[in-house]
Amino acid sequence: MSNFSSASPICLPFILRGQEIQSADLCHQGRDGQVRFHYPDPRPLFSQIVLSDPIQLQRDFAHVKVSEIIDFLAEAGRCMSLDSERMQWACHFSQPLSALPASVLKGSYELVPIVFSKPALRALVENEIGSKYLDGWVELPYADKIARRRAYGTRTLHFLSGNAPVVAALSMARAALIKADNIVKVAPNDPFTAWAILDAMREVDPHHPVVRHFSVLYWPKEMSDFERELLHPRHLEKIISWGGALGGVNSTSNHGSLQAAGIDVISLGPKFSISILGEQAFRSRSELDRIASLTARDAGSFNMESCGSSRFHFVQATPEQAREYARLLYQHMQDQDPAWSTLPKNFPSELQAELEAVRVQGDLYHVVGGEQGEGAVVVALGGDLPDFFPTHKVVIVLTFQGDPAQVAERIHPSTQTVGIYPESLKERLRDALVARGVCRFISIGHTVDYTVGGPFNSTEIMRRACRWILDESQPSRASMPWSQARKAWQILTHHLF
Amino acid sequence: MIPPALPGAPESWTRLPVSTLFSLAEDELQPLQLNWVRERFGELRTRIPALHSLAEKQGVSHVQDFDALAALLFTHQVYKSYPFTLIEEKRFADLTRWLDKLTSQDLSDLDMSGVNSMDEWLARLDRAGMFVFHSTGTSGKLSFFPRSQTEKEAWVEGTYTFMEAFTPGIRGVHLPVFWPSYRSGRQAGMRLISHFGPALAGIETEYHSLFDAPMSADFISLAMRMQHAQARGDLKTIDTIKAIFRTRGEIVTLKARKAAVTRRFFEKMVREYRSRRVFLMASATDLLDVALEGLRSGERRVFAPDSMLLTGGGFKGRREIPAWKDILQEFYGVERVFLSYGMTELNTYHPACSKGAYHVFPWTIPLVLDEKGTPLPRHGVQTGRAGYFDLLAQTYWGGILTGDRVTVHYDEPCGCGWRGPWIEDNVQRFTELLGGEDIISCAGVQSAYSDFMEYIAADVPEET
Repeated sequence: MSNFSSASPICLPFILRGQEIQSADLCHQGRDGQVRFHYPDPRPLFSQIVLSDPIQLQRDFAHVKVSEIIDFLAEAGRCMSLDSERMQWACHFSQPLSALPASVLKGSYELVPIVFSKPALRALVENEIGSKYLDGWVELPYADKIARRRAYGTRTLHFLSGNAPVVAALSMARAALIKADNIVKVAPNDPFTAWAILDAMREVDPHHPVVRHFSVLYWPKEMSDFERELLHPRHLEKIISWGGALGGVNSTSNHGSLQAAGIDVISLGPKFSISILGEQAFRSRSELDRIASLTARDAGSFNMESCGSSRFHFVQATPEQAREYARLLYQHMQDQDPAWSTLPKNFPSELQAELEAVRVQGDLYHVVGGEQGEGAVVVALGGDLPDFFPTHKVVIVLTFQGDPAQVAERIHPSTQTVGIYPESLKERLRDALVARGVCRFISIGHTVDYTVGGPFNSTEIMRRACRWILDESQPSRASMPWSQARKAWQILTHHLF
Repeated sequence: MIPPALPGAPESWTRLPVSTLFSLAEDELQPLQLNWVRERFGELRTRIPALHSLAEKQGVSHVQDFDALAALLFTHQVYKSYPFTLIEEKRFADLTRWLDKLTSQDLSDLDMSGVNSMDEWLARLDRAGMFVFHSTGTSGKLSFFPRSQTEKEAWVEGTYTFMEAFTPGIRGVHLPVFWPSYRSGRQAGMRLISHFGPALAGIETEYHSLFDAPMSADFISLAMRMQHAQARGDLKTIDTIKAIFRTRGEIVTLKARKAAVTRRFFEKMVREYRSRRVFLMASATDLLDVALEGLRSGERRVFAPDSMLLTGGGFKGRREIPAWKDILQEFYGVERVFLSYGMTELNTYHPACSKGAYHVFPWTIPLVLDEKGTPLPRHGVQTGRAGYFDLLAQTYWGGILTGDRVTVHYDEPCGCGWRGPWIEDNVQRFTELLGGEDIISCAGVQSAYSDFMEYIAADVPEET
């Protein structure tokens, strides 16, 4: 383990296949021109970063079962609590870089060992893919042949997003479980979490196949020559890209052309979430208050830095009812558990200006709060969406009257989670919302309770991150009778039970 | 009693000689300006609902000093805070109600029935005595500045005075005017040329514009509408846009024709107006493109040295060519390249003096605010976010907060002989300064959202 001193300059170490590289060759500067962290130059390390011989991956994992990986990761997970020096260090130095305030960041770091606990790891691998597909060949029920399939981990590049540390934890747990070879490019707004997680694994066993096939590093998007060389089908089979597949802000490459070149790009996000409240929510003052306390949880979670945070609330209400809802919602959002919601950090002046601009148009909008950069609730009284994107605990409430089905017409294709009240309305709207792009439905108040091992952004990430191989063989004449009896049994059990 | 430094109301100052306007030091200007701010505030506070609302919120009932004024500035967002759906759904009565909150003119009785486009809406406002300027909407959505006929005369005179600052006596002179853009329109530059093209030329035929057509507000906003509709997969709106596709077709052909039309325009300029004194106004990049092309083909010193070449607006994301002013002088043959700095929100531009400093006319009050929006002292040299109060605004609120980072010198002369506050020639947009930091998030942040919209829009096949 490295020696952590808090003396500046802060250095992001790379870990390349079990080896830590400490060097302050390059620096990352913030928008104010200040140096945020130093890091090694990845270019001379290229041959260490890539896995040049892909068979090495199969060799190293040939006799490693998923259950053993779970044991290993769970042991490493015990070194990922905030009691450990490395996690404290990572959390501490992430603070100036993260959009999350200190208490929320700390709360997020507390989720990391939970992701690396045995129940969570098992849930991930069994719900998302099934460990039997990773550990061996699984036969398909065919009468005339033996058809077997198996999931292989691939050489994968991960572009992480940095909005919450749990992104790194989930990405790395998934990647380790499927026996992939992983190159992780960290985000400049969360560079240390992935390093700390891998360092914990390294502490348990620096020669474990998972560690030998894991690298964590950073390069700036301007380093296009390096990136072009790396992002080549010779070195990679998959790219899992958080923050979008458009090359996004983390890469200058055109992911579309990568896809054409044979690299599978799995694009995650960017997404945002909404709430829909039917008229039943407005039956009584006490009921509305209870509902506002729940939707406030959905809106304020991770200080709205998460894709699951609900930013637009569609309410089947009169303008007067919407004003009352906004007032209650605002109050609840100002009084939340500091582990996941607090005063926003660096409230943007542009957003402040937007709030002030709509505030003086009292016929169109009603603004609650937003005076001290604490967040706000903006009611669009006529139901017309203002044209700014709500962040930093600013919620937009849109009124509608009549059939709630009309809300589906107004859904943006980047919508991820929809919290719906009452539950009965969920069933009515579900298909129409899915058609508009929605990925997940929840009971209001539960956006943070993401089901581990469920599909994410309409994608089964672990399945998609594997290469699925089919092995077909025709039985020889000699083995025919036995083979057919076995098949008959197989088909019978497959179709009847 | 000491007579006021400048007599009469600010709108009448626009007719005073430049030497008088720039003869006053900051400490002479401030009491006079503050009195006029109070006058405007007293007059407009109850008549402009948006100002009333802002003043209430800020707890300002009397503009005690310039610090109180700094709390009463409108950002550019105020002038485009209408929901875009009003345009998409052609709810121009609602758009008028929105605009009504920003002006002391009473628009509540204006009939907007039958209005089908922004151009028609603006035309109807014109007929009702408004004189609305719109922005080019580089961010997509157009801003609308609710000027009225009340401001028009001061705007004309102030602009003449601005030109007098470069070329004394221009008020009485007629020159052939070259303008490499649309002939007229209601965007700020277009409003200016609609008036000054014919006025400076003296006769319509000596006003030469690149295109004969007026600039349409609807044309400009169309791309944005397409993006919105595409991003939402909103087939209904896409159909609506297709219905006005004729418009888009014109843009496409106009774009395709632009190279040829531009060449003809400048050939005519060089051939028929060689060695004559002309008036030429354009963006620095447009002027430079032509100059470089012209110099390559061996043309130089095209016009008379006392021609008036007026430019500004920076290089808009392109790299600044170091000796660009020399190149312009070499090709166009002018003695001086006149530079200015200004914005749609202000009635007049700030002229650059012989030392290259932008001088602020007494009817414009420059304020500098720090990052948190706290006003900096109005003396010495101050760098920060620029705010202005335009005393020529009589029917809308003249206080604006810009996104420009400026350095203002309040009381130290720049050396050109003019007095009063001046702004250094290093104005930068804060957005440019900040650049894009590669913050990566799975949450739909604004920039990713815009990238997405651009991507979708780029995906729309060009129809022919």
